[in-house]
Amino acid sequence: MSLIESAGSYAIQIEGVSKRFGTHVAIESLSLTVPRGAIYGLLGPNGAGKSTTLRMVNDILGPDEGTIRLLDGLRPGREAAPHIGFLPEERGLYPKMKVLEVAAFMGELRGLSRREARARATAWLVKLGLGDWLGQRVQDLSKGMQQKVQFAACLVHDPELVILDEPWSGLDPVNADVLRDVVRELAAQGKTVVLSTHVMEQAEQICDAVAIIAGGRLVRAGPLATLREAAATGRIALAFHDPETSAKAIALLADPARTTRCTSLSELALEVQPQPDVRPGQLLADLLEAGLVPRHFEEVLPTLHQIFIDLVGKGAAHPVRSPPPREVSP
Amino acid sequence: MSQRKSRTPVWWVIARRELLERLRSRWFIVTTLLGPLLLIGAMAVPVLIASSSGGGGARITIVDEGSGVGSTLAADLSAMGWRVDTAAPTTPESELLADVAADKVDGFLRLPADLVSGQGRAVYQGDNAASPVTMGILSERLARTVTSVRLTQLGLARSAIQVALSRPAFEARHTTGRGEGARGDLVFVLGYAVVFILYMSIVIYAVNVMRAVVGEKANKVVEVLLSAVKPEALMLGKILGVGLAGLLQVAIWTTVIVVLSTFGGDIFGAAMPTLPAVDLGTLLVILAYFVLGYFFFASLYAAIGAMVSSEQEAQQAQGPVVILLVIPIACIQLVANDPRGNAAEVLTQIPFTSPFLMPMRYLLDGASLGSLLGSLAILMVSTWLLTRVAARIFRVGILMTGKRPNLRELWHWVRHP
Repeated sequence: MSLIESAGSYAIQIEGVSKRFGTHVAIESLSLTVPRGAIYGLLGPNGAGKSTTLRMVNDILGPDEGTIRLLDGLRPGREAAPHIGFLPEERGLYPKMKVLEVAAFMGELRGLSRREARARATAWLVKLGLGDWLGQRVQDLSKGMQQKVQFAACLVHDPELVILDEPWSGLDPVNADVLRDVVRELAAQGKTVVLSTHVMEQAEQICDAVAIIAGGRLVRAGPLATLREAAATGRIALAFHDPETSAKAIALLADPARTTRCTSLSELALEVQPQPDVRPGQLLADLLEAGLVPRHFEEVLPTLHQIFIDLVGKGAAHPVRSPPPREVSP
Repeated sequence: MSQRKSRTPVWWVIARRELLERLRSRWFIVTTLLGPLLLIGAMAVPVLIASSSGGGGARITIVDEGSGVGSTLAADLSAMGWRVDTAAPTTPESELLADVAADKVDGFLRLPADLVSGQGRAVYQGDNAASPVTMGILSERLARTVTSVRLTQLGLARSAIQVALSRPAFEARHTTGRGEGARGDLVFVLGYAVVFILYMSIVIYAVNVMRAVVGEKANKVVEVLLSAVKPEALMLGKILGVGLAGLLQVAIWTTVIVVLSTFGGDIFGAAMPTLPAVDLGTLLVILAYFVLGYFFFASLYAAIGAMVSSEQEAQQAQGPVVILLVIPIACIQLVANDPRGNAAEVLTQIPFTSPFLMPMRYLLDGASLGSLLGSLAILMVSTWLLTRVAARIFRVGILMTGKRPNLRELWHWVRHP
């Protein structure tokens, strides 16, 4: 999944968009481009305007100012709807409809013929392990299974752009994994996936690029790696094979000409903050010259969580309603 | 990007889902079957009332204070199935009233001595004194008896009196000058049945639209829908889908009426008098008012559904519409009594009463073509306006949860789409 944009090829292009509700400004002059083929995270604290933005992209709300174009020029709404899959934060199904029918119905709303919708819905449901439940009513399914039906309903029309609003909220751990796999698979097929979350660990695991918004404004956007590089402080983590070497290294590096800070993390590991004019390579060269060969030498990049807190503020990093992120192997 | 051109419009996808959901529901099957039974009941009740013209066996006490007609009247009424006692003229009123209070009798009739001479006044006191049918019978029988006594006093022979008092045959036929007309009571029954069907189906299905909208908000399925469909298309689809189910039901019910009105006599024999035949023009008028009336009220209910967050709230919010719906029912008799009068004219032009009352007025042949077309035009224009207003309320309301909007906020939604 490459982030290299071919000129003008975007999944979402938001230009100067503002949205007000009465006197409350939900989104203010937001400009944002989501390249095609990316897994793109829309990050922000609760109330930042993530859902409002995604609602505007889906033409559930219209912007007061600015324009939104999707998939290289389509207008939100009727034009773009057949190519977009949307899983809103507030998600639900018709409880009395049968599993296959409800998924096929959503496909038909997105422009599939009835037959095609049924065929594709069947394929998705079988793939998600619901093959034996096609004829059951939605209300007879467990909550976890209903969540899978919702994924299927959102993907049944094979959308180019899949938009997931807080996709992991309320998901059980098993389905959280299922969703992650589905997202990766979609990206591997060249689809664009945009997901909003306020759980940075989730975004860090899966996103290629992110946009951080707060208070209705764009704070920072770009590929995840670029953001982390840009936010790097030059801090270096080192580790040695034995405590003796480690102690010698500390003695060498604690020199104010080389570092501003040198912290021993354990008998073997330490962290240093080089002087602004000292390059990491120089420190490594000095160590090697002194015969102190490190087992580990790495510039420490900040986590997305740290970047987010730095940009948005500490208070915002502790969302009120979200459960702690569930750790899952990537 | 795979290019797909949708052949099915989204409003129809929505409508078809609503329609199928209803056709498959037990509720639809039951009401479709029960409807005609209710209908037969609704038609049979007036027929039964009319046929039990004996007053259903009222129980009265006659207090003859010397009029001389008491025993003849008692025999006459007893022959009709009434239970008649006589009491001595000296019986105190308190005792007679006590019998009424204990429900031993329905009432008592005092016949003063100078009744036949025309001076005195017969007075009936009883719990059924408010029944026009029973009192009509009593006063008519009393008049006959008194007349008979007077004729005897004038020297006429008993056989001559019987000839003089024999009732001429009488039949009321309803006509407004075109054709000889059908039996009046039956025309009324038919008109009543049509109002009944229209009212039931329009109200049931319009409320159904509201419940479907509230349900979608409660299920949280609405946001998924709105990401694929414009709110206007969603509203149209729901109204259409639910309405088609209603139309199918009305078609079934109407078929039953047509069959009854054509073959009723053959099927039920004498018990079911043949109703006046319903022609194609009448059916079209009924259909037109059903469709328009349904859209009128369904848009109102759809807007209410979008404004509220729960069924309970919906119950409160629909109050004003319920009042609109009570008015036509309260006014049925005004149209039936004088289909060509001013009240009927006004009631069949007002958009929220015309869907129910115009078909009846048309059946009673009280509406001129101009009046009919005018009424249809008014209803069409106001329904069109109302659906647009409702769509605006729907569009804003459907995404709202929590506080119900007040009138000022509603007005703002309508004015600033």
